[in-house]
Amino acid sequence: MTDDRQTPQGDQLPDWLKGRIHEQPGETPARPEPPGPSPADLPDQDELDFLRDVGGVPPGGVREESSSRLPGAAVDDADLWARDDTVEEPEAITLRGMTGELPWLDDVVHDKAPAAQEPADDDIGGIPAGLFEDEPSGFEDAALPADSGRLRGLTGALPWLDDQSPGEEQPPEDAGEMPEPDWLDQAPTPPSFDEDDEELAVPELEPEPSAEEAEDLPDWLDQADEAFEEPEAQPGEELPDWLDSMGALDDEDIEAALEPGEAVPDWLAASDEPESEEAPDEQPDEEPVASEAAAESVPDWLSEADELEEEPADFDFEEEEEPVLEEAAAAPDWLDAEAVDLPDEILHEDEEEELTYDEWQEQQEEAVREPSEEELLADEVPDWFDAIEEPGEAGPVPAEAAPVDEGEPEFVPDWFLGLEEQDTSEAPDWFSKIEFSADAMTAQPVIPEAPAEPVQPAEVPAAAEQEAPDWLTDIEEPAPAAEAPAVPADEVPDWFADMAGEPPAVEAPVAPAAPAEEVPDWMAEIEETPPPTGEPPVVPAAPAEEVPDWMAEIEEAPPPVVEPTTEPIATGADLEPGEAPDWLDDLAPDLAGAPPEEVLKPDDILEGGEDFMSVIDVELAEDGLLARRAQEAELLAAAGADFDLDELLVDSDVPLEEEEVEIEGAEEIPDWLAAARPVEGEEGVSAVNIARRRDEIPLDELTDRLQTLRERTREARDAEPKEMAVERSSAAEVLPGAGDSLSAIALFEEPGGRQVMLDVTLDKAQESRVSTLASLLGLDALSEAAVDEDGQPIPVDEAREAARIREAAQRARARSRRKPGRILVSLLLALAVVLPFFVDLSLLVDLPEAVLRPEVHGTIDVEIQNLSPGDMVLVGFEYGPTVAGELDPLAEVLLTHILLRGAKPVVVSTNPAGVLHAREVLARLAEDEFLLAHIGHPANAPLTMPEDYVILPYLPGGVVGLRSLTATSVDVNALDRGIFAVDLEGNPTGLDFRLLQMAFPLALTIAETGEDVRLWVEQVHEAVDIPIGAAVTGAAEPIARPYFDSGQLIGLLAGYRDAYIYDTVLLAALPPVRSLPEDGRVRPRNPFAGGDSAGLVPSEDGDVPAATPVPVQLAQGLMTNTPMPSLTPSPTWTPSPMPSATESPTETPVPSDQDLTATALASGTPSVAPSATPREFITATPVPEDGEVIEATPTPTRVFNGELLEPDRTYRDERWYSTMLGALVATALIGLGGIVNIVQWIRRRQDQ
Amino acid sequence: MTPETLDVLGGWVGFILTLLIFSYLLADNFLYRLAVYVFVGVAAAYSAVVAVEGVLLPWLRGTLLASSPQMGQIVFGVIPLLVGLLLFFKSVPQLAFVGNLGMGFLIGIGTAVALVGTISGTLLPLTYSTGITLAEDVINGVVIILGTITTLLYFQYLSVRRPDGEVVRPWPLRIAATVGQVFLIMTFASLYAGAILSSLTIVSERVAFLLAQVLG
Repeated sequence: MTDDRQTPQGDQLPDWLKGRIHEQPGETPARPEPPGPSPADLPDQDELDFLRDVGGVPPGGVREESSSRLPGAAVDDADLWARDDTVEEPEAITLRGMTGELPWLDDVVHDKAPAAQEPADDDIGGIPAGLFEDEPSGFEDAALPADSGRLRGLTGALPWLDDQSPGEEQPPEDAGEMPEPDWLDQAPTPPSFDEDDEELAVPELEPEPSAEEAEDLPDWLDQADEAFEEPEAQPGEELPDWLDSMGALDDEDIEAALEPGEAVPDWLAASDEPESEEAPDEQPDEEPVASEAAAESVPDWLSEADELEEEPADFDFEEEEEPVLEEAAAAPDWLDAEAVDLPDEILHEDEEEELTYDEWQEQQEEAVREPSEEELLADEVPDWFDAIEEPGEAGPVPAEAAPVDEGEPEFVPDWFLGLEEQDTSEAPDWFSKIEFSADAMTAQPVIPEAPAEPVQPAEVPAAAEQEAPDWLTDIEEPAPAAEAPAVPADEVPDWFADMAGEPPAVEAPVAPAAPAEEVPDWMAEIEETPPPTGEPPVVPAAPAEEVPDWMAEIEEAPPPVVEPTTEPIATGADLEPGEAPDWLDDLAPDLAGAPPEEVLKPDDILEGGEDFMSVIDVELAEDGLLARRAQEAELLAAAGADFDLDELLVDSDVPLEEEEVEIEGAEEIPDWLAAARPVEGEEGVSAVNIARRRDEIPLDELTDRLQTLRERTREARDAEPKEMAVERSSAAEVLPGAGDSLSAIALFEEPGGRQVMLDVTLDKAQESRVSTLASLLGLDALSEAAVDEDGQPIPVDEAREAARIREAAQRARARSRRKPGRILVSLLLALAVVLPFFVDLSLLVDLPEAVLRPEVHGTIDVEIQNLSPGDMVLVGFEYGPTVAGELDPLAEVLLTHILLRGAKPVVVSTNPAGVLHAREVLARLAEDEFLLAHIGHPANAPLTMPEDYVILPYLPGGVVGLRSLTATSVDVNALDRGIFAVDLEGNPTGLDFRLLQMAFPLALTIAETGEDVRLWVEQVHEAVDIPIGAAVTGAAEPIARPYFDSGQLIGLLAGYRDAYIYDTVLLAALPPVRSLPEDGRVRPRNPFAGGDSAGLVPSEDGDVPAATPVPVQLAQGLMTNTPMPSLTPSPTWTPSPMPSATESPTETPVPSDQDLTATALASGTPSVAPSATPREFITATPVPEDGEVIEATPTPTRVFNGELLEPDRTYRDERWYSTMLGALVATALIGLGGIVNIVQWIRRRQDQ
Repeated sequence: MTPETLDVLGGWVGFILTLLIFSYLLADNFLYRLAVYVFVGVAAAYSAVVAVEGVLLPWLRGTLLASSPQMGQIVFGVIPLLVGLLLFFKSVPQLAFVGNLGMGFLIGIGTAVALVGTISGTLLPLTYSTGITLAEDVINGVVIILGTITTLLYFQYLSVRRPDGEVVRPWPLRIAATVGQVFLIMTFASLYAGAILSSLTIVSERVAFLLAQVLG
């Protein structure tokens, strides 16, 4: 409390107190002695009851509740403050009632509460110090840090307020150390106060109103003053009703109130001192600052009201009535309405005369106390509302003091909180132009008189118009422009008249749920006149829920009638009618009626290098509200015009009125959305800017595809005159204005009336297919062949098609490049294939079982084994180098077996590459030393064509060629010997036969595909009954298998597996062989070669004795179709290990030719086990038909003790391992891929 | 250059071409295409040479160019030559119809030969074989017959129009077609597996070739 009083309150003093508290008593000697306040002047119990009724005073009364009430209880504080004034002036009661019934104004009064307490401070100048020293709660003893901080917060916690009062000293936080303000220093030392010394207590209570102050008086105050000073002189019709009631006051009461009371604070006396015009000049420099700072926290109109209530006595209302009436608009009309309640208070005013100074002092102390949060919350609800709802429950406010937000001015709305901390550089222009200084926020906007240049903020006084934001002035200005002139200042609006005629509780704003702090004082000015509706953009940060209901009512009020501006703005830019959104019409109804050429474009204004807001200010000065609203409307209209969505949706052909209907609801576009509009040259990060930049990609930066599409679109638009109207109209019906852009397929009408579709929009997949087909079929051929119905070629843009094909090819290549999965799979497979060549995987993968099962492989081995030396085997070589890796082993093992049997393979092929490859394979076999050794050829005597084998030329004609093959009759006398006449090299084959089936006991086809097998079966097997065996790839096996199952193939060997098995069996059956001499004169008689060899006879244990005469079985059965022992070994048969290559030649003496006289007798007990297949069952004792055992007498040959030979089977096992491991990895990858596909499918289903 | 040297050289050329083909694992690149072009070009050239050297010239030598040809040889040699020449007219659109004679001759003969061979070599033998199999092995025969019939039914598109106009396949056909579809899937799966196996075999042969070429 003491600190409160010691706190320099000058910054919180209203204007009417400025300069008065420091006026020396001697400076106004001529001023009449005002009636000093006395305890008797304080409100008595009746008045308190009245206040209690209106919610300003709790039932407990002032005295009781003074100890529990906080000064933050704005209403009560205001009441107290006003009550002090009403001691002398009924107008003060009016103010009290005003503040007491408007909670939001309580904040103002709350800020003024220190000012209400200022009398105590001011009393310092007028009241003797001994007065306070005698007080139990002296200034030195009491400590109100909260109050001090709060007071400090009014100026120090607000940065904008600091800026406005740079020279003002911040009060220290420690109240005890709070220095005495300068203005106190300069103030005269108050003499010791004594209750009896009324002169000292109220040295100057009679202010002399100056002419300026008189002009600032609102009309309602004038009326109040008149009612107080000259109640009888004022006619009843010129005064409100409540003034009439005021006029009924007893003059005695008034005089009693005017008597200088001992309890009247000096500050009031000082404030009541008439402010002379010379006073500001005489005062020190610091004092105006303090007083001005105090004025910042109080609205000017309120300050003026306070000022008026202090100096009503000498004021000549009659002379100053007119100017006061002009200023009456500054005072809210509702304020006048609240004054209706005053007479009751006045009637009970005399009851307060019994209040002593101590009681008054307690009231003052309580008045400066800070309110608690509960009180603040309670204050958010208007007291008058509480009084209405619960008049008897208005209990005292909790006494505990709560910390008050020091830096938060209560007159600043919540939506404003935090805005001052934002970076102003990011704020929109209109926001940056807003001045949030105290003066700007509190002072009434004053429109300068047509300044030639934009008014700079530094040049404008504190109470200039720029103190309030422009948009706020837009709100408050329409009323005087539209309604204020039509309504007399002393007249009350209808709504107010209704409220004034009824109890306030009924006519008060409905449910003012918003806290009073959220309503700024400057906003109160809005209530002077209903603002125009549709102003959301001017309150950008205020959520809708934060707007009080009374503001909603204001918004619901009919918009003011504003005359359209007709004067062009300085820049002279025009606003197109379509550029203005509909919601702007609500903001500026006059804009619609204004000629478009008279409206500026904001961009033009900005381009002119001028400050846009300055231009607005200029217009504000020149044209007032209308021009500013027009400009703001243009600004927002430009924002709407730049909005891409509008451009997309709004058809330029549609009239503006239709747009209003379509864009209904656009008025709700908030400012943040309008501020997000793209700005030229601004590197914004908003989506709109991004989209705008994307739309503005230079033409040369477009991709080829887009450029092509652009050209096609242009072409289509060029042909627009011929476009069918029906198609356009249908699109326009669906989406007006979007038919051109959304029409994917444009139909055009040819001169003949035929509808054609020139351009078809293809998706990516379709274009890819078209490109692929075009590349496969040949675009040129298509172009030439493309003719219309009349046979006229349809012109095709070859360049475009070629470009399309190139693009498709590029895409295909790009797709092929961007497949890391394929690379991964390939690497895994390659690793699996290569690894077995370096790592022994015998434990992981088993070698195939070397068993040729008749039910699986057929009897190819048997048929070959039954061949006689000199027999011809027709071999169809139907594969080329592509599958050589798989079929070459099969071909080699079959040809080897045939050659071992002494037969002559006759190779024919319907594939030119097959012929060539057959020659390569046979050439390799022809030089195989192992094979040559077995057939008795020396190493230097390879097999030759056509002696040992025949490769026929390429057989043309495909199926016809095969069919002709069967009909060929090779006869030396025949006219055409066909393909059999010459071999591949053009040499005569020497074949002479009349019937094919007679010449070839066996036919083999080594085919790459199943189709080749089918052709051979269909054309050869069915034409001539020749047993045909097939050796195919693994891929062709499923197709060839049915022919084997049907018996059309005697055997079927597929892939490397069967080749491995066959080769293993064959090698196991072959005896070891040694190299032969190279003279070529002696050919050892290999039992496996020659026509007299019938089969392989391995030993029981699987070992073939080297150089041991083996029993020879006659091949006679082949000629008689006698079943011959097959190569199928017994289950216990195991391949015999081949001799090591490093084995040295045997040292066994080889008999000479003369020594080879031993007779090799055919064994009667062949060691070959019977086959499991009954059909292949081999008799234990194959006996010729004649039943005789033929003694084969081998021809004596020379035996060359040569090197033991072994077949070249490099990487044979490794290849098997490699294939199997690769198959396993491939299976795993395929399975994994299948699982992934299944999971993806499930996810897609779930997503769907 | 001796044949041995040519063999060694040919082996290294094959080695390089093999690597070029394997470069496709990384991406479709120029080296891969170069190897493919070489292979295709060589194959086409060889085919042409084979056609000329192995077909035309022997034919001409045996007929028209034969020493003291007989009339029969001349006629027998001229007719095919004329039919073959007619095919050149197909390159000229205005005279394409002239080449149709040769094309008709070829297609007619080929179709007739193929049809006869298909009927006699595939359709009838396989049908007969299926019946025989049913007699020999009931289970296997049933499976073969079921698979054959249902697969054939899968490719039939006969439907029934309901009174409401909806065209549907009778439910027995739908079931049979579904079963046939299963058989088809199994068949294609076996073909695909065989293809993979063939490819792996070929790759292993190439790897073996490369290793043999490098390691000797």
